[in-house]
Amino acid sequence: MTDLNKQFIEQITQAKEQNTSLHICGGNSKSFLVDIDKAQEVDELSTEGHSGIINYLPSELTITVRSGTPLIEVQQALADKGQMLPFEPPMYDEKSTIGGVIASGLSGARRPFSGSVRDFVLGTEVINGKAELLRFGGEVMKNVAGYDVSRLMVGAQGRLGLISSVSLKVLPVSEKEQSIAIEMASEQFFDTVQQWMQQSYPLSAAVYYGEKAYFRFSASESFIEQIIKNISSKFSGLLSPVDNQFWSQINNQTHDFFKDASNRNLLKVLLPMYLKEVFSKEFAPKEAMQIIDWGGACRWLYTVQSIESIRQHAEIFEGTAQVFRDNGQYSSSCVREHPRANAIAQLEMRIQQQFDPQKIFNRHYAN
Amino acid sequence: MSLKVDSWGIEPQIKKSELAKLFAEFLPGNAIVSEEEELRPYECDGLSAYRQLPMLVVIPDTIEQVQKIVKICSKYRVPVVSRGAGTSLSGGSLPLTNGIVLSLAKFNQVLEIDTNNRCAKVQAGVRNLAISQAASEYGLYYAPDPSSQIACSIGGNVAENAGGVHCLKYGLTVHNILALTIVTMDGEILEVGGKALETPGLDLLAIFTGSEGMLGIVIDVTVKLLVVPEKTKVLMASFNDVALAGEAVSQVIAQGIIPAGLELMDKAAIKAAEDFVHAGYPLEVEAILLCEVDGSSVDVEAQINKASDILKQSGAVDIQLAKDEQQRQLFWAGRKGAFPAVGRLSPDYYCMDGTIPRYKLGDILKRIQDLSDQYQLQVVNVFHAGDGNLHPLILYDANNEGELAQTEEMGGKILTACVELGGTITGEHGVGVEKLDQMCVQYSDAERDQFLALKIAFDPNNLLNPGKGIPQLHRCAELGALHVHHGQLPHPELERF
Repeated sequence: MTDLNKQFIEQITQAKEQNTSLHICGGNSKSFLVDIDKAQEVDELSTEGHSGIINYLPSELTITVRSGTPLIEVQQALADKGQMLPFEPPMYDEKSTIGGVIASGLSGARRPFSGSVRDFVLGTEVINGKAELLRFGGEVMKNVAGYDVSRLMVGAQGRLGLISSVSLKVLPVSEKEQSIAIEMASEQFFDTVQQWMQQSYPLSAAVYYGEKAYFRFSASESFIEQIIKNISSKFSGLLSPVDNQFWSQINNQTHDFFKDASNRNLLKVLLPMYLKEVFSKEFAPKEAMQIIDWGGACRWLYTVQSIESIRQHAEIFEGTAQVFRDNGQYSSSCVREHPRANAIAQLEMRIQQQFDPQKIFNRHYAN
Repeated sequence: MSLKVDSWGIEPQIKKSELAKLFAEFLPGNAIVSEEEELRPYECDGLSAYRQLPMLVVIPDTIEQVQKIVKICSKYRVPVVSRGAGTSLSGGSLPLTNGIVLSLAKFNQVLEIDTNNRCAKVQAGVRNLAISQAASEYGLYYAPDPSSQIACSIGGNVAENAGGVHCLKYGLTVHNILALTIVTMDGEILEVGGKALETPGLDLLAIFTGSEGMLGIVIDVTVKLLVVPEKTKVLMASFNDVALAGEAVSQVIAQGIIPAGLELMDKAAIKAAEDFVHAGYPLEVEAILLCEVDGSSVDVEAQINKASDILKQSGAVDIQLAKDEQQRQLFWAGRKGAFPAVGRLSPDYYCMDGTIPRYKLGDILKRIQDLSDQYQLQVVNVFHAGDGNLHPLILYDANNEGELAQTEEMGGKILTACVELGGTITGEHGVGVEKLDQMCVQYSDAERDQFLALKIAFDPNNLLNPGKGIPQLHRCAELGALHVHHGQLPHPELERF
């Protein structure tokens, strides 16, 4: 329970005066997400030790946490009160911090059904490139005073400033969660997700992998019982129970599928949820391997096709492709993130300039 | 009535007649409004205490026309106030005398309903309720439901990050949109977001939402659609103490129920609404809570019973479950009609929009009552209690000299109290021109400076709705001078005038 804001402000002030750059890091569990320009010299600005839950009010559904607090501690505190972070953030390493969760903006399998990281951010305290401590938003559910800078911090990878603390909306854990697997073709997976969402089935995760669809339901015990009964009669003989642990294997990329990422490039392709076979045929021919996550809206993909061709196809459907785990194959020839339209890229640069005029933060990030 | 808009010293480099002539090169005659009597309908929005005429109103119907209009305005330094249905309650679309109003009224088409991905692409001028009406044949609807939903436009909803009675469970506008097409002040088109759930880079969708027309002009919006719930039930719980009703709200949520709506009305609001719509509200109690639960039949039954038990344990003296859809609609008609109902009680009322942490409800009610006694102005309280969003309505008569000024002063103090209790000056109505002074209370100089700097990234010459939303530093300095603490004058470096 230490507040290191004073120290951070000193360090940023010094960097400002000496025109040096700072590399913001939390638990270092997601450092693989960015390419580093090694020619740039940077000093580390670590949030380690800047930790602790500042305020947790279960009846208000809000929690305020210092950015260096390990994610696992936050999750434990919430679980003790029967609550959770509804966006199910990945934990690639137990050192993962809540600040890194916000800065990376990554959400897990529950995302299409409950919402993303930014959907649950209520407020942030940040230190900008001028070494000013600023508070945006707050601990209340609704706040439209001023621009929504808190949400702008989500996924900004520290380019706009150091996140010092964050206030999040949390939700109660459902009375029951039950997961099942059903043998089916991938086309049928898309149709099933659609049908069940139309029927308001309490889906909280839907994944397709290896000729099986995996579903998780979160609701009251009686409702889940009714749902499972309906499904069992329809998919008689094709159904098998699944341990809820399966979802953390997907979210944290500890599932066997992700082991290949050590020697292949793992792509994350985001698409509208319902595209069915159009995309599968284009991008997942026999030699490719994929996990269809987020009920169809996110594909984890190993493919021999070039990233450029994948991006071109994804764009047709308003989608994007990111090199999520890179083994050196792409980084020299292309950008890791899906390139933005020029006007958007220019605007992002101007925004960054207004938060961090001297480009103190993460100057060494490529792209 | 003195206007509260901050002047940025913007001097258009063109005369009204010349500007109209330039617009006439590509706009039909009926898309340019210049005569005083025709400009009159645009003189104010839902905050009608402030009125002024713009130079011109333009009503384009294509994105190319919008681009041309803003390019001309950029060139000649003419401020642009974009306007949807003009229902803003904070003066967000109040015209500027040295600028034009850009009406999006003709952008009124539902462009696409994608049932598979449960979303709709609609133009900015489409009314909120019209989206749900268009989607209803597919069993879908658009969740945010501000009380002005019959009239307000989706573009305006994006500008204000509009909420409504159902945002406790379903979120605000920012949670319910996927993409925006924006025209920037230099006439460029930005496609922000998309049908995929996320796009890489900075979350521009979030920053445009609630930006009050100060960063860009919304042309079309891709909204998420939800499946109409299988079952919806509402119960009405009566309390003999408003604070007890507030405590009951926290209890319901603490025990794991997220109602679709959780609304609180005090005695004066109950009476006004009952006289107006005859909803069957009890008149002898101090407060009622409307608690709506939706979802599957099984879950709704279980949750409504649980909620009923919690409310009883929390001190409800009576609980009524709407027996059918007709009664459910009637219960809501009273709540949704609360504002016009109050309008019958008093020649004028002033609607506030503060937010507090729910558990401070008792505190804020006490502060409001004290202020009401002090100013001798009656207050009617209507709350989105589940969100901690208050709408105290201060009753006044503008014909009594000085009463509006007194009302505004009292309203300002209510909002300051919200900030002191850990809340905010506006939950869903926006800052506009109305709450510029309170922005000085909520945010520090450095924070407001960061907001102003952010605007420069989008609109370097400050031509989009200038003077709204974020106060200039000297304004706060002048206000601060009225409240000198410990003999220290804030912002000694600034000139005072």
